[in-house]
Amino acid sequence: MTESLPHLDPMDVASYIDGRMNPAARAKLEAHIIDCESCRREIRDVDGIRRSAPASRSRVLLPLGALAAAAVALIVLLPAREVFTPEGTHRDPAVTATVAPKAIEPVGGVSAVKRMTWSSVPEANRYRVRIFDAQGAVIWEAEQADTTVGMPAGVRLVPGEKYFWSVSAKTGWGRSVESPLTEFVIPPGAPGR
Amino acid sequence: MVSTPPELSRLIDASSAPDIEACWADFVQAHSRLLLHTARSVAADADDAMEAYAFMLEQLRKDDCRRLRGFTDDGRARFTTWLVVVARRLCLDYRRSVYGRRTNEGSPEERSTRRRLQDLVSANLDTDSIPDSQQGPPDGSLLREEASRLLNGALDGLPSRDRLLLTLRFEDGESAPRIAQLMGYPTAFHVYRHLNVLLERLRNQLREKGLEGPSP
Repeated sequence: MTESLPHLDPMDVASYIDGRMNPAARAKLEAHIIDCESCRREIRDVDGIRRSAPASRSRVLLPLGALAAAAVALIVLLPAREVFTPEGTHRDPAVTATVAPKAIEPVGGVSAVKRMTWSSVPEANRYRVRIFDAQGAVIWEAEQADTTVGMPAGVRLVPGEKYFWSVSAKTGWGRSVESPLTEFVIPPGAPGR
Repeated sequence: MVSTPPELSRLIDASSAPDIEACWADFVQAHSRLLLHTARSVAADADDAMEAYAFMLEQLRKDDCRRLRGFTDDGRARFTTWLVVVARRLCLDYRRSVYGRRTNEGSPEERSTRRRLQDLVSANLDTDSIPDSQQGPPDGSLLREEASRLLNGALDGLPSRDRLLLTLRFEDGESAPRIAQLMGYPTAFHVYRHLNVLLERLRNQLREKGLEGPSP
């Protein structure tokens, strides 16, 4: 398909972004957007808007008494074990209304990495930060309460090599929200650390 | 999988004018943050965003909410994702009505910032062995054209998903983490690995067709 053919239907765009297309429909759409820059841009933009969107506000406001009763009922009635779906798989990660932490430094090309810094997350009590090499292997990780951590002397980052890092904020028992992977590289010849 | 939110169902089912008004207010309250966020993502500044937002609401309400009635709850997509697609298109319509079509869409400046897939892959395909057209023998440009033709043929033979991956990475300049999100790869590392496999496959295909590396 080319740009001369009709552009995508909004439902197709949304379905692709939500990952709900069947393989045949997905292949057809991908064949179209290879050559249709306009539709490709739409998918990229909408996906970006969705990912950066604020959490939707609560639709139903229950009276406080009803909320308390519901909480008590949950505590009493829920079995104290892991929750499995009927298919026997673990449930999806808990949906939280909080925002993901955002990498502040290092990002992109940096002359040296003395510390890692990220944005704070409301309700977060611990953060776990991890650095990966280009093959995906974890080369360092740390867990702490603050939103910045100094790089220990033992961690050797090679100038010219690509690294990635992410930070996961623990917002409750079994709940966490993680930043996207952020890439950084120390240019060859830089002191590194 | 039911995706229609209750406030939309109520709005579509409302029949009396007061009911429609109340249901519309509920709908706007439930989705105003997402719609405003979309308007801000497209607009040039705060005033522009508010104008686009107002236009968006007007259009969504128009003709008895014709656009909103276009959402098909068949499990193919979340309503909010679909709403962002529609809202973004309305914002672009608004901007075009006010400012005209964006002049930088596909402009030479924008294109010049992209790393053309062909150039990049060619650079990785031992085309350094092809003499520079200004310094080498007279047939240098012919060799480059031949390399380009062979490369295009090899690219055309790739599955569309692989071609899309290369296009997003090398033409659009998207980062590996973003591509992973868009195309459903588990991580950015899967993207890097697959890109490496693809580039190596292209190199091998060109070698098989007679495009050799530098002479010792």
